[in-house]
Amino acid sequence: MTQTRRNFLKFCGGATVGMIASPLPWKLLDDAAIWTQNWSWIARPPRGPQGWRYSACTLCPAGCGLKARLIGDLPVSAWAVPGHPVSGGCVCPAGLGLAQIRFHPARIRRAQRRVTAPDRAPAWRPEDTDLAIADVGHRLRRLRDAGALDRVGILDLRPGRALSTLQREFLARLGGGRYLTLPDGRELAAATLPELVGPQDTVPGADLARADVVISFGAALHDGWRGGGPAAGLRGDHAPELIQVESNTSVTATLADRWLPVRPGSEVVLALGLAHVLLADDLVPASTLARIGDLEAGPHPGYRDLVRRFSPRDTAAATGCEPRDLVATAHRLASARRALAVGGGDPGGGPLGREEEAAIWGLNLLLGAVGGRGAAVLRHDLGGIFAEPDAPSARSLRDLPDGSLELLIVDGAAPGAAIPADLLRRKLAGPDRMLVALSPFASGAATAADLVLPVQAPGEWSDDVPARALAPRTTYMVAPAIAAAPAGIAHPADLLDRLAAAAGGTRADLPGSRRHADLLRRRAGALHARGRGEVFDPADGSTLPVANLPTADHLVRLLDRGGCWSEDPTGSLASRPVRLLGADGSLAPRFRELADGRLPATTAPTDGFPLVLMARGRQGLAGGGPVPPVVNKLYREAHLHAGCGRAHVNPATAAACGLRDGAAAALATPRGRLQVTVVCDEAVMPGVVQVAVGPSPADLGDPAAGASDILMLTAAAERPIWRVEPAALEEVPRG
Amino acid sequence: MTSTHETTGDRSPRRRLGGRLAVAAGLAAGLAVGWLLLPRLLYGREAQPLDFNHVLHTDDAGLACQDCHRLRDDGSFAGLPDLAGCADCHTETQGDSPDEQRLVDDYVSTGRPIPWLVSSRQPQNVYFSHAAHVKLAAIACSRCHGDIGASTSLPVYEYNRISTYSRRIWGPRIAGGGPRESDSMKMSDCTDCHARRGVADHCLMCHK
Repeated sequence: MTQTRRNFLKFCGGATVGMIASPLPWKLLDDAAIWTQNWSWIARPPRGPQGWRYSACTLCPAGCGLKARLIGDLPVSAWAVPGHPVSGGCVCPAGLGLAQIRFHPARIRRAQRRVTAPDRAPAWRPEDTDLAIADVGHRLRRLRDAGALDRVGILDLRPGRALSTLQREFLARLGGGRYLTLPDGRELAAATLPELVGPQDTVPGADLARADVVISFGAALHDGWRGGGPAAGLRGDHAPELIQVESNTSVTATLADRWLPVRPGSEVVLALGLAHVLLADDLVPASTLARIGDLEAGPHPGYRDLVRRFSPRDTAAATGCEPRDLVATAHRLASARRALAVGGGDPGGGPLGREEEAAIWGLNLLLGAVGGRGAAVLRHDLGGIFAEPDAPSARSLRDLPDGSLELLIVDGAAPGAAIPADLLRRKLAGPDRMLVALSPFASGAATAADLVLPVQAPGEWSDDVPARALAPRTTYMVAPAIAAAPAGIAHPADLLDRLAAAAGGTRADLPGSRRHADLLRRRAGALHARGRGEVFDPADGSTLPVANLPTADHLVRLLDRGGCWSEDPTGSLASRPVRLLGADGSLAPRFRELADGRLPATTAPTDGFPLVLMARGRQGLAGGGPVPPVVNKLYREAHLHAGCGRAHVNPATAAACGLRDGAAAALATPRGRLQVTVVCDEAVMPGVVQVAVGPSPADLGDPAAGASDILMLTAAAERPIWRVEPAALEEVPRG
Repeated sequence: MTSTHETTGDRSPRRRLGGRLAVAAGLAAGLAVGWLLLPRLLYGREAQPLDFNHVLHTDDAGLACQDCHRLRDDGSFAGLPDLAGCADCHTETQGDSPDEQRLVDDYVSTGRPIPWLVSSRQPQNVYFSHAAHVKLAAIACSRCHGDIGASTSLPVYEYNRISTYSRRIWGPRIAGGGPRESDSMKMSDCTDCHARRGVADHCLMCHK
């Protein structure tokens, strides 16, 4: 064989083929990948004996039961608790990441002061926490000296906890201030029922899992991420038949037995159309009709007269739902032994309106789904059981006039729904206005803050978890800490103490964290003293009646071990008089407008805005909470979930706008415009633009990573309902 | 004008044969590097601090696997026996083995733990429950650990120079695995076994 350049190249070619046919490249690639996972600076779980600790997830208000696996004292993973009364043995991906979320890149260990303008992506400058607390204390002291403590507010993002009581106590020690909440769609839905049935000493719930048929008006029952656990009863062999009324093919719509696509914002018309069929076809028992005080015309127009105008044909014209589907749905609901209608809105798209929720509750009242198994139920409110001081009284932040505050302190709990940053900012006025977030992460509501003070993260302190709005049973849990907090990071109650001390407020006899622990024990004592309900022990899955526990300490110990107290619903509306147009008939004018074909102005395309923007979000994530790194891969690799900054449109809509998949486009509404990437998605109704709310999960929820706040385009800060907004989409050159 | 194209097309059979031989030689060399040389270069070898005769302890001394490799009261696996376990029998030498002499002199007498090199140790991001597999599923130790219990001498510890993992995880073959089921302990071995037994699995079941 002659040694030539040609033969040498052939030799190399042959060698290359030979090596490719051997394990060499693949093995080296595999080993190199493993090598990159073992760099010295990458945190590694320790070796050692394992243990388990039971707790509850506090990453959203759902409160799914969790058991954490620990190596030594370090939690390394979290699992669902089989048979848990709240989550039924399920937990969402976020909950599975509870053990890791403490290490999230957005975690802060020092105070962070904002260095960018409020309307820009946040950037932070670390600051000595003691100095930052002194600064806030100085401002509080100045406002108190000026007699302007009504310009101080503390926003509780998850009311009803023991920490909520300490937040009120903080204001009392200060000498004044406003205790503020921000009810989400579920809470607003629950608050609507008393308008129809009169004031109650109980709160409503919805026993979805035990219903035979559930008609959901856009409720994200299966779209949950956080909050996925409580929807567990809606899956499996014994799941109720689900009818989803929704504009887009959401996951819930896909998994539903029937999907009724309706025009954006027309859910209320469909609900009234169903009521029309129920009444017109005599599907409502006479005994139920006899309890409706405003069925026939009196001082106000009668309910029957109003819904008579929502004939199947008229309803179809307004909603896009076929008349035969409407009639069949009404008959299916009437024929079911236990049919239940639910609303509640979307965590990112905002709550349904008052009239929508009233129309949905009206359906339940007509169907007799008011009390008992698989129906709307009445249950005891924990606030009444605990009987703790509730002064200053709670007020919704939305009801507060803009510019009412100079200093707003925002709690660090992850809310269940979106919080428009602009809503927080617009409540502030004055030259020294300041938004202070007490948060473990520079994410969520903290991204709107001027100053973030670090507190312990979920899983590092023992928060408590009261039953959330519309829960079918009254439940109460303590979520015991599963990990030690980093040194120097304060318990939220201790931080309130330090703020009160810096402001010169009255001193408490015990540290905040001790008072918080005492309060948890007193709450357990109150539950024990009632002697009602039962407590679930996650260690062995057993359930014990509280009456069988000899002392309150037994209940305290069970709750400290991740137990869950629960009580069945106690009240029924089956025999009470109801008024379907509200106690004062105030819903009648709005229903009449709807009958005249006047949907909310925002639902109709207008000149220059031929499309409709619908914001959507996932439970908890919509509130901007951090995304656990362990599940971030789902977003990065699967594209299963809609990412922020991406406008999902039907291919026909994209074609009509001259856009193609992946194009850069400007999404405009009367409120402003944002740049988005177009995603052609058959699941979106033609004429609709769907955008996810919250920070981009692909960036681990880092708000500075360029995610756009779509709520700025929906005027969510200006009005309580922002589900639909006229919009336009036009291509812009990439650059 | 004679083009280069025409010149190359006019090749003698001898030159063509030379070219084919070059390709074949390259192919053989590439295959040899990948299949024969790579395993020699990729894996390092390290001697155990002491040799250990499993047969002597099981057959002659009458011990069972779980007498030394025991589960704790909470069901978790204690792994290798600690020094106290060895010292129960070896405060003094019982035979004339030089390794036993070193055990007594270097470790039992000084209280220094024996730095065993554990071939079957999984990476740190993996959690494996021996209790679930040994007690619940009644899987024999040899299913995963092979015939180590019938050995009279410990195999040399081999480790991957890049990943640092034990070769026992990947298997003796450079392409993975080996002739026996117990030759490798990769994730695919776990999932295959779970699939065969109809046992559900998910990422966080094993990964911390």
